[in-house]
Amino acid sequence: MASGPSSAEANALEATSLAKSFGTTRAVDRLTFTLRRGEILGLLGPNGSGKSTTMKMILGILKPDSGSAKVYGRDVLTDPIGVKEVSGYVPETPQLYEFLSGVEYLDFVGDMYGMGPAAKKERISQFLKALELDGHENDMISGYSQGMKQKVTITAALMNKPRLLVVDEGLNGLDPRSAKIVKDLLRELAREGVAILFSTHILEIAEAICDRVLIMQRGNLLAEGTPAELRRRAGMPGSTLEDVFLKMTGTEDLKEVVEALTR
Amino acid sequence: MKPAKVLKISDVLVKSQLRSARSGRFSASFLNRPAAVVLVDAIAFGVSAVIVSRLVAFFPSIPGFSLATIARETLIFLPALLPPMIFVASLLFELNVSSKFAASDTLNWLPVSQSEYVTASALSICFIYSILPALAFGVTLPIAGSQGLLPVWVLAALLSIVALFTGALLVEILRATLNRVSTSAMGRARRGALFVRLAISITVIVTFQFFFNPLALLGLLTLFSREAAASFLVPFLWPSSVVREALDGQALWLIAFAGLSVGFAGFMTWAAVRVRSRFWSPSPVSVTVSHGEYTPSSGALQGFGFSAVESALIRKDLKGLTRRREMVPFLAIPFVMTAAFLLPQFTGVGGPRGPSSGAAGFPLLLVGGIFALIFSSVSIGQEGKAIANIYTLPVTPRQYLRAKAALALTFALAATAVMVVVTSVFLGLGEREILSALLLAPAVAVEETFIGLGFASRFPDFSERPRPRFVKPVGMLVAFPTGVAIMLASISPVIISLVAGSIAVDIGSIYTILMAAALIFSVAVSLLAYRWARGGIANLLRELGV
Repeated sequence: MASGPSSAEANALEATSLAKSFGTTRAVDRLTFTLRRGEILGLLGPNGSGKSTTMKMILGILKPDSGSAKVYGRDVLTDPIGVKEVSGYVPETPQLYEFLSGVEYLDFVGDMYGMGPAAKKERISQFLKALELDGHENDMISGYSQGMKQKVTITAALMNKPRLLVVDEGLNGLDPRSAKIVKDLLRELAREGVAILFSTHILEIAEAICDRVLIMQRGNLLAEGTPAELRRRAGMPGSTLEDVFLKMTGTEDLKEVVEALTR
Repeated sequence: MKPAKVLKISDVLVKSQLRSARSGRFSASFLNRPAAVVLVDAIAFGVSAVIVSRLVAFFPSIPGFSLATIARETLIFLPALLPPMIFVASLLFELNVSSKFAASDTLNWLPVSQSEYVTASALSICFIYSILPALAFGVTLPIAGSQGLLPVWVLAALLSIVALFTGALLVEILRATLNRVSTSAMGRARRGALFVRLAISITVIVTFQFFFNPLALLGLLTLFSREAAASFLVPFLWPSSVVREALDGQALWLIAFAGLSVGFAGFMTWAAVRVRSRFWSPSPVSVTVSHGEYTPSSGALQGFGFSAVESALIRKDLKGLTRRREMVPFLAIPFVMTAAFLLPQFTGVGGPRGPSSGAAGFPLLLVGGIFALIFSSVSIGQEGKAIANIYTLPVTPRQYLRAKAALALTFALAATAVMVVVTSVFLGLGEREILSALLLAPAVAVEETFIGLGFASRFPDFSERPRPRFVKPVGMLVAFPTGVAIMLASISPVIISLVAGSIAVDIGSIYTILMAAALIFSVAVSLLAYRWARGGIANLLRELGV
């Protein structure tokens, strides 16, 4: 009888006691979690809770003060290039070379991953069409709308067929049609075995596409589980993930805030 | 125009310049306040005045030096000196705002008139670069004082401030003109239009540098008139003429030139407002760089030993050079420097006219090196916020360094080759100096490239607003004198040979030894600088600055 993969093999990402401070601010405090292959893990939390810092540490963009992260067995501290070779990253704000055209930028990214001409062409054509960027691919990115820049960023993150995709507020600026395409794309990628770490402030989206969610607050892990498990744990069966989130982060009583703003 | 509003805008522009490269935790620091600029100016003024006052005591004992002549010439020269200085400083630090931010500048939608903005911006430029007049005033005060010319010094200082403001207005005119040139390639422009835009932009900068350089203009005019009275036709020299007439006791001419100076400042303000009103276009950039079907990039550069990653980085930076408005001033540097060095040679201002001894042309040998130093110093910071790509993509520090060095070296060696030819052919270097230049100039370009990359990796400035600087001011302040000092040491055989030739001393026997020592020095510096740059880049790419 064939046995299933061991936990180390099944895990795409293992973060152990990750910690990071900026000055006196503890951005992430000994965070431990795993992400399995083919799983979409939602990273939720209020502004400044440490989501983006966590994602950057996992990808080797920021150096943890302590702790470690392994992506498919590659330690981000000792092999950051190896981690980047198997990962794709969609940052919160598109940071593109705006003097390049969309297609030139994607070609540049393809070269960075060592892709051959045929592979680049196939991948770029496929995504330009799917994300409805064709017709603008030869325009300089500086003239793109926010949504178009986001589509280029998403395409760039998928150029090398990553095995781990890290998406930080990846649907920002997308129109509803494009957002739906990306959500479906993420689900399809997960089905193909890609592990996805996904942060968002739109909890309906998290509820719709995430297999599991982590709720962070002030750099700490507040709760972890499937949306159903979290509802049960919060004693709020039948409520939305938004209600659970607001209760867990202690921000459910917003009436006073709204009244102060309208005064 | 409301003066209070002008001062407020100016204050904001100065603060945004001071704070653009600093993180939030320093926001309360004294260094972030305009008062810090005043303090630095006061220190610069005081220190330079004390040093020169000590030196002045020695002047009378040096044969051939007449302090009275020096006092007269420095006071006359003072107001003419500042506009070109402001122009060169602005070329490096003021004219490189990207079109993206020029278009989204808050002032475009606030109720601010063009005249208010232009005046405020010119005032902020004067304030930011006020260390230049502070130093000049400190140097000239003891000299003037020693000759009982303090009232004339006060007059010269006041006129220098007028000239400084006029120079800042010139920068505003150039800024608006370059904006017009870059917007000419907007819309559905083709790739060729981008090259045309680049060529026009460089031409505009060099032309401005020439036609608004008082020395160049005076030289040109005297070529035809052969009379010093030609200065009457150069408005930027009118403040100097006021000082000259004050020294000569010509009250009528003094009043006339003073009126002309103030009138010229008024005219420049009007012209700057008109040019900005007419040419400023806050429309977004939309350029189509190709109309053909996508063809994957070729591996042509890989034939030169570069990896696919390095080739892609080089191609990316090359495209940035030709397409980004903020990079144009850096490409213009060799042209501006060459013009600045050559003009006195051919116009006769500051020395005998026409092709002269090689000594006069040796500064041209520095052009390639200075270009390499500046170009490589800004090569990392110019990535701006998009540097995040380098952190997310699998790029090693070695690949990054090789790509940056390759592009900087290509341009620097090209500039060096042109300079060696120009210096050798047009300025009459001897055979020995030509041979030295052929050996040393490329070595200088290499060492300066790695020195620049070392500073670029340790002092990068990725901020894009209000005006990108690419390298932190402290980095540039240290890099430039360091690079130039090393450069001078490397070409010392040429300098020694030229000096020896001018005083009829034969150094033939030791020249070969000097050359060998200089080459060994240059190679050693290059290797050390390479290691320093590699360490800097490895450290930089370890973690993205937050």
